[in-house]
Amino acid sequence: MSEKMVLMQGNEAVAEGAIAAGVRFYAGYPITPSSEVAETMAKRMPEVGGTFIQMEDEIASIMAIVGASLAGKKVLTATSGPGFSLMQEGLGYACMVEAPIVILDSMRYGPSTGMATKVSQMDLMQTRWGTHGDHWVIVLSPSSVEESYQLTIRAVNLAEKYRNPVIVLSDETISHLREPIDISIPPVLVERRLPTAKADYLPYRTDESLVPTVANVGTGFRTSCTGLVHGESGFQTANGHVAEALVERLRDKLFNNLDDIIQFETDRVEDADVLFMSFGITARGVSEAVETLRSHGRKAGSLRFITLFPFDDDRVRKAAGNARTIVVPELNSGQLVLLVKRVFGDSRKVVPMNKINGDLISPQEILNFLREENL
Amino acid sequence: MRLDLLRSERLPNIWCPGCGNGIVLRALLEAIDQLQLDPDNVVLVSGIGCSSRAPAYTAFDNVHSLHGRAIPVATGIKLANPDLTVIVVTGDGDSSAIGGNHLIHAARRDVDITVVVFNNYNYGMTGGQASPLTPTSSITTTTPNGMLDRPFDLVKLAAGAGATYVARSGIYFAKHLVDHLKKAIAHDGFSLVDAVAQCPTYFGRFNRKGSAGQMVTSQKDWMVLKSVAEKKTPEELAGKVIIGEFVNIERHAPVSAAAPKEQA
Amino acid sequence: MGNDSRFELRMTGSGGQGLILGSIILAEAAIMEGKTVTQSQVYGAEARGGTTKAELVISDKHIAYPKVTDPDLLAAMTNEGLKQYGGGISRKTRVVIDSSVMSAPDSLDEENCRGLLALPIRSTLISRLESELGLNIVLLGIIEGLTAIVDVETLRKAIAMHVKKQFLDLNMKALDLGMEMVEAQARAGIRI
Repeated sequence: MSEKMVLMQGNEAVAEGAIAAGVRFYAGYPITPSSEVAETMAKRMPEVGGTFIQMEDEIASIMAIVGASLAGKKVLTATSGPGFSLMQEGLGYACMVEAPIVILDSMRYGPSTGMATKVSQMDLMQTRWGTHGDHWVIVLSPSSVEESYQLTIRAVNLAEKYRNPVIVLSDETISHLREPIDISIPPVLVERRLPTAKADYLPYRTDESLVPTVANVGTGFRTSCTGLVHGESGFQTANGHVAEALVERLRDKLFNNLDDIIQFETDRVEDADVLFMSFGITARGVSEAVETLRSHGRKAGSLRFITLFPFDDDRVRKAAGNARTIVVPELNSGQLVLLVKRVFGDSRKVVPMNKINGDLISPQEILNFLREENL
Repeated sequence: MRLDLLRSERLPNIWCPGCGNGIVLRALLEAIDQLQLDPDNVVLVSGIGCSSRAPAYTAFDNVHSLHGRAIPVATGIKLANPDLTVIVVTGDGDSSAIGGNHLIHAARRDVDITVVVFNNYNYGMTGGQASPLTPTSSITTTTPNGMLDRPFDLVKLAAGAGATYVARSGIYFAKHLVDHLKKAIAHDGFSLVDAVAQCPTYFGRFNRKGSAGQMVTSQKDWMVLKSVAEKKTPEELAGKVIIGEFVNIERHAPVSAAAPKEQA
Repeated sequence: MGNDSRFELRMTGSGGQGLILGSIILAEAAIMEGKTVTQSQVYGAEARGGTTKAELVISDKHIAYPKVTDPDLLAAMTNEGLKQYGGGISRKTRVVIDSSVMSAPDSLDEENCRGLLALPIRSTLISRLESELGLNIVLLGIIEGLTAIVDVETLRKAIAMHVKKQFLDLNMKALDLGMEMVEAQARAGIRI
């Protein structure tokens, strides 16, 4: 640690990460536990020549950032479950028009308004399947304040690179936690590719990257976009072949680049006989439990999902080592465990560990769980 | 009219024979042309519905968004690039039902965008259902016994919410419509034009309004110029729709709390 | 849990006493000394004017689990705070209470905590410094007096970062007062 370290709250780190990544437009609506992002941006955007606007609701917030993104800005909005529910139609629209946007969802207890100030991990599947229709999003999961900063930068970069919505899935605890972080190193920034020639310009034509070079509106390309199925021209069609090709491309532009997108953190997986698979704040209790188990001679390991989606079964299988038992602790009634079970079928013992009272899973509870379940 | 403002390769349009949308679109293009705006700096943003297909037939940058959401998208574009002329093309349902909240807040903020409402008193694309602008007693597919509710007066709604330019016109009054669209687009601040058109396929047929041509020409019977209406009694104006300019005021000047305040 | 350098602090009281700010100040002092910290608090309507809780973990090493699980020090500035957030203590926990606003509960003895220090914090602050502000800083002085968790000069620097100039002197006196209160106890043979 050094003088570079600053004490920062998770939500502030998201805002500062976004600014460091080049975000210059924020639209949002207050909601606990994400409001400090809006408050920080309200102060900071004018200082860096950006724009902050408080919209009338979360529907308007996400549509405003889509509009600003189409006009060339790097953009952010932040919300929590109830607001994220309202954002779902805009999320699907951003997928369809391939607008780079970043959304912070700080998970609180649900369903509905639930418990506004209590932590959960209940929105995991909502990030993946919240909006209707086949679609693909990138979901990143910070487990610390430092990572809230770094992954927000990464989220902005991935959004611009793949022209896709990226969700930073945080939670009430990380949002409000204060930890020292180093923000002194300027990040590497990614800029969206733009068209070069106006002749024969087609907004949704792609090369082998499958990522289109849609012109920013107002730059003379006379560009066109729609949430309806569209071909390369950006105009609506009801042609089934065009539709199929579009939806396949929306998938493949991400799935052809899983090495670039997917990140795990593993800890002593190689010889583990019990492996924990977790994400976000829960992974920090896991980390300490693994330490304690190892100090008692138990071969425990951890796989933490930094990228939650795209979720690639093969990569998870390869990263998981040979542990006979896989425990999946999470602050919901069992969402990540569905994916883990899909990966391993009956080949391993996959055990859910769920807590739904609004508190974290402590290291001691993990140790107790292993004992009680004879794992 | 300048044909190069249209994307002729996208024609023919999807609108029914006799639809009034084409005439509103023509008036809009005429207004943009007469204002000599650089087409590269004009963005048309729309929601969902028959009217919202109009931008895709134009040669401008066009963003076809979601039902009711054109105004927040336009707000984002305008704030991201204030040099652009941002025009929202919307319908009566798109703007006043599902998008009603966005409409009043954009008016309150006085965002410098222009909202052109292609008002045909019903939802055409989905088969002629009632909208918040459908007149009381009218027959639609969701009001088979007649509309029970009262409609919004869109002009009063926008004015009450703080719009700094509000006008209404009808497609029969083509020059009147173009003139008010021009003033709305040129206006610095939030502007709205309620452009009354006809839907002969649904609203006209269900309510025995006659042919498309009759629906257009009848506008001269039930629409009254504001200057004329001012000399008439309420009884004489019963059942009439007044057209003209209703609000044209200076854009409200934002005052920052950080700026020194003048002593009262 | 297997991390000897880990120090866990929980402060509880009522909203407005500045306990959250106090925990942030101590956190920043620890960072200045190259330590790592995690600071958290209760949030929401229940924290406004009502009962509040601030937690701080300080360690020489990376802190995995960020919340307090087995506090080294519990400071309760109101009865209600002790009632709501006084659980989860062990024989490792030193407990400080403000005896000017609450009496020591019978439940706290050497069986379930390392020791109890009942100090008239609020009344001493008012009588000595003629102030109702600075309770959180007196408490920081007490914590410092008990634990020497950071260098006192570092703590002064951290305080100076957070208080307005016109209140700096008062706050430094408040810090000294807290440390003095602990020293006085030690002189009287009371150590926890």
